[in-house]
Amino acid sequence: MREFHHIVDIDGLLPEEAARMRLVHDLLVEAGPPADLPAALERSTVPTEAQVIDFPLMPPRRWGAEGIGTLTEVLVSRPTENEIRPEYVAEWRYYYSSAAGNADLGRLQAQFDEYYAVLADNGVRVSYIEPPVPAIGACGWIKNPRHARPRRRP
Amino acid sequence: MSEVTSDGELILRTAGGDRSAFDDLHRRYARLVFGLALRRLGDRGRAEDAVQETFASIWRSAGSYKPDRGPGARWLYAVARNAIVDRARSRADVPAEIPERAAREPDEQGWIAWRVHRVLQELPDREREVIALAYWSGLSQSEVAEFLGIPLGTVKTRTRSALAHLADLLGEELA
Repeated sequence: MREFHHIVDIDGLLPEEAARMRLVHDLLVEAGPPADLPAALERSTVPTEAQVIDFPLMPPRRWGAEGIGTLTEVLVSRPTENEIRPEYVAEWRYYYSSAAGNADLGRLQAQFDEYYAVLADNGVRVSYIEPPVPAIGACGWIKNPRHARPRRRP
Repeated sequence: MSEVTSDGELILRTAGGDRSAFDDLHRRYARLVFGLALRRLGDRGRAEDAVQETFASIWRSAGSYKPDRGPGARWLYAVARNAIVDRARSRADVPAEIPERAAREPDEQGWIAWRVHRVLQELPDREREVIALAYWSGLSQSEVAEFLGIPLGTVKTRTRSALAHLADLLGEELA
């Protein structure tokens, strides 16, 4: 360890000045050298801004099958741009997507519309819920916000 | 040498979503956070993660900073320390053991290094240069003079001047 008098020339200094410098010297020795910042950390990265969305309040009733019988009412939504984000292609495993790429949104919507039409034609009341577009949550883009669980009655 | 904008002011501006203030904080503190994390965690990869988490926390929670409760540097140190402790405790990262030295290192020692390295940034380049060479490169004053191509007397003068500046900047740490 370098001694104070090897580094600092105290000739001509007042004793209190020399004592003050010695304290600084001790702190410098205690602190040790600053670390070299890795290149990856040289630029700041502002965390991705999450868009806070208000999910529509679900009607205060239970949805889903509650027994065997005639289907009378369904809660549905049409596929949106939420289903075809480029992130799903780049990180298809994370988003439970497909390496083959995103679906054809127009075709997807047409197929869903066709299915809803079949339900309506058979006397089922079709209720629509519209998800926000785009939809992003704490863990990334939300692919199927229409699948959000409805609030259960207490 | 005096700063135009204090750490506290930058934190408050960051709380308001000012990205340039956040960038300034990053420029001032990224290296310090990394140094602190490296001392505590003993692993560069985990230390890098801790730096990222620290600045994510700063961005998210800058609004919780209260200037009347202390200087910005203390708040930033607390945020960094929490992120590093979280990283050390993270089960996902258990394989890398916390070095014994890091485990024993008292909080105050980390704070001293944090403060010293921070105020070093405020020195003029020519003063910081002689301090770094004298303290951490193992060069004698004659060797520093030769390395920098300046007279020995100039090295001595700059060293004293640097220590005097540091003493002023460190203030309460010397008390």
